[in-house]
Amino acid sequence: MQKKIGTGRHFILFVTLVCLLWAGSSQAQDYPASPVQIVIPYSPGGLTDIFWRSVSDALASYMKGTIMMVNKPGGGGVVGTSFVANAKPDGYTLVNISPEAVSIAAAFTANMPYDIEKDLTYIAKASEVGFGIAVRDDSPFKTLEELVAFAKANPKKLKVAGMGIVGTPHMIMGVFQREANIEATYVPFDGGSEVVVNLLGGHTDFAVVSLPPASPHLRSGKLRMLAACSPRRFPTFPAIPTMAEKGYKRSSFATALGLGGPKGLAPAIVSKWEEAIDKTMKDPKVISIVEKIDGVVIDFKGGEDYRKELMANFPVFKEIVSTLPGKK
Amino acid sequence: MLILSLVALFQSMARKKKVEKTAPQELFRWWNIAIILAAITAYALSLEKIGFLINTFLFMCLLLKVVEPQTWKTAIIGGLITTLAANLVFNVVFRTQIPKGIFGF
Amino acid sequence: MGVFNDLFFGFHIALQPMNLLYCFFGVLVGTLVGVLPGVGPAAALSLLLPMTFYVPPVSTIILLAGIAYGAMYGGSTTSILVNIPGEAASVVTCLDGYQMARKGRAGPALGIAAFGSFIAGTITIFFLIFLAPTLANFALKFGPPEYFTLMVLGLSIMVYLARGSIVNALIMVCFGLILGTVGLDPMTGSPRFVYKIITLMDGVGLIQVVIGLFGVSEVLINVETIFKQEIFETKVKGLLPTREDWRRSLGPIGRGSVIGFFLGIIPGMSVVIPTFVSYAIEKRLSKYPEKFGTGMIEAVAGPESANNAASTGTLVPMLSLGIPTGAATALLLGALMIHGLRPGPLLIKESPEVFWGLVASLYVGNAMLLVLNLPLIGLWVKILKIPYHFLFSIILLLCIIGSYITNNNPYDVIIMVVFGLVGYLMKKFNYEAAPLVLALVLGPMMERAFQRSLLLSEGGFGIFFTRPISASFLILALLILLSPLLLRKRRLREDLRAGD
Repeated sequence: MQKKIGTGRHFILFVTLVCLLWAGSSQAQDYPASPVQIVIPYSPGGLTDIFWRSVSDALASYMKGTIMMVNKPGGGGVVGTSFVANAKPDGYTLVNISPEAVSIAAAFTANMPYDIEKDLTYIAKASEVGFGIAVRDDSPFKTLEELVAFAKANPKKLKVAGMGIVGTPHMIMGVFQREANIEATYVPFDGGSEVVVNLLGGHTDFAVVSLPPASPHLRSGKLRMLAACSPRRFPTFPAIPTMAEKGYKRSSFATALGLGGPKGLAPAIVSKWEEAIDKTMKDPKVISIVEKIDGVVIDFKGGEDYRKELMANFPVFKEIVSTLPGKK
Repeated sequence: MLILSLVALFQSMARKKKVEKTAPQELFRWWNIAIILAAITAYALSLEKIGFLINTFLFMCLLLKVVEPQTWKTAIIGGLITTLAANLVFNVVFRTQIPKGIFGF
Repeated sequence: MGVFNDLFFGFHIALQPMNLLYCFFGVLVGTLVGVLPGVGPAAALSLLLPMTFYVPPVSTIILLAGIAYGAMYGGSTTSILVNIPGEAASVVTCLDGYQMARKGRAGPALGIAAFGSFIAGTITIFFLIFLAPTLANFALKFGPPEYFTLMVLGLSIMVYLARGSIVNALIMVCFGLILGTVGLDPMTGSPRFVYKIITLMDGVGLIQVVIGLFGVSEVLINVETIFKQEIFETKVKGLLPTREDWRRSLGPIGRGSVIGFFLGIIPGMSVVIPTFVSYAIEKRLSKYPEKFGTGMIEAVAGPESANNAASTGTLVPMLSLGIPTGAATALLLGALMIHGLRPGPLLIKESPEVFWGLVASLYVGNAMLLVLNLPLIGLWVKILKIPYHFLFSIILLLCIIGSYITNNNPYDVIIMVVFGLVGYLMKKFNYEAAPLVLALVLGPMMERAFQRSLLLSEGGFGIFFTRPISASFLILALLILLSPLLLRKRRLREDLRAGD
């Protein structure tokens, strides 16, 4: 009798141990055990939204989990980013990280709901979204050099349209004006397509355009792109030189799409994501979809590198903002 | 706007002579209004913690019981049906992103 | 003749069984989306976007367009039934449509909305086909000064929205304008009236304000006294519009279609504005303007037609220039892009089957929607028969979900609560909500247009007068503002003459 009870007790102990070990290890290995929420801090239909939804299937399969996209628009990306910055760092709430809601926003206001250095974990960069300097087909400027020459001779005469104030096109113009030593009047509009419409209508002289709304007109010849604001030439428009090639290295930057989360994310989770994003962006199926989105250039960087890249531009942005009319 | 408000004030003072105040013959249940507004506010603030299903159910029960008194049975059944129906439409059909809350549902 | 060939070709595509199915699915989802307040076509489109990867391009665009259309139809349903606008464009339908419902005429209201939308859709599709490229080029001429003066014209039209005291209406306009400034300054990015509440950084949120002002406040008003069951007359007087209704509505439908379409082609023009304009014009043309707001069928027929016509109008810049005019068209564009299609001047040449297939399916979709919606009228009217002491809770729940869903932000619901209270107080003190909404929509647009115009003109105000289109809008606005005075003068003169 006694032996049986003893065996029974040992058995229970053994089973319990196995369960505990199993559960313990599966904790780390089974992430993500439930759907991961990726917050897109912009409204549905925007480029960021389309990009992430296009890659989400592949990304989910590399992560061996499910991904749920959630839109939380507002404040140029700040609302959604703030939501994630204040979320639990359990790896189930992540967010798209673009300079607009991070370095650019912080350059504009000291009252950020999160500290861009301390409150966010930067996981990886997936791609860049470039812009272009464009003119109408009947514009007298056939090359960038002609535009710059005219601008130098006639300060403040040229009107340039761009998307928004707290945004990359504004910053690009700011840097460009400093690099080329010119002065043009920046007229902000609410969205890439408004910029293109106004340029087509001849209301401004040139514009910093986003690719998607501009591309049909570039193809039909109604618009001419003088240079690409992007570190590499656009896959869909390989004939257009970049700003760097034209001699303006500092102005050759674009906005970026990456992934991040609240501070304190476990390093194991971060590297899992880094790897998955890397693989996704190298997946031929993903590449074929993403490269069709005009203006998107795949550019993977690890979390630490992305963070450095974002912070590097921050002082420049602060300087540009400080010279804006309302801020002096 | 200031100017306009002053004008409006004068106008209403002038009009007072014409309009007699009709005494409300029915009970003026102002507290209903306060309750509804407070309930909605509470719902909104707690939604992301408690989750859609529970919150909606509580909310509906509250409304049905307090604002326009029904029997407990009506309140609970009504609340249940509405919550499930809303869940069906919004969370299943549309897969809109209404939070699940700490209880996971 | 070539056009009819193309159209025939288009129908051939649209009527293929697969595409018919997609069209049907699209309009069904769209109607549902439209009926639910706060859930706009953009949300539905974005959810279905991944599905579209696996579907051929023509079918995709048919599906998505069907959703957009269906949403327009559905939006008026809740406006009429419970005074909650299904989306911002249906606000105007609340004004008279709901009153009609309260008098037991929900059926005719819904019916005329459906028919009006159908007729408007059909007419405007023809405009689309024949006029698209020309119109698009015209629309390009609208720069910031034109937008600004057009808005000024719009605000002056507000004068005709006022039912009661003009002073009260003007106060509402000012209130609306001030509300419109909440958010980030468009030029410097500095926050105004934000008080560190992040949600307010993008402004108060039109949908939340509208749901609160109309939907919630209506419930509050009804709740304060003991429910009399006659909040909705239980005896429903007929389900379909009568011949008299038709006689009165044909003009508004025609006018609404034209107004809606031509305003819709202006890029960036919100669909809300044509509905207000149609309402104002119908009121101006009516023999009984004082009755507007109590349930005049013209006030439903005109705006509903305008809103459908405007949706077709927004397709003009989308298809011929590749410029989206709102969240819904932006998504359509995105979906096309993913399939490698580029809407724009080349679309018709490179992929005629997409363009003509879409045009034909628009017509098919419209027809489907009419057929779908008519029998539904009976169903909707039954819903009104649910006892109010139960119905109100459902209404409130819909309001809450609707406010939340746009941004997944619970603080938006709080905004709705605030405006529910505000709306309730407004109703008690006889202030109208409509001018406020118009000002809230127009205000921010006007401010941006004004600032940009000044940037373009380097500070000179002359720019508004030297450009022909802009100048004509200003003159029109002046005429409209002065017309009450002119009319009064004429009436005085007539009275004097009569008295002699």
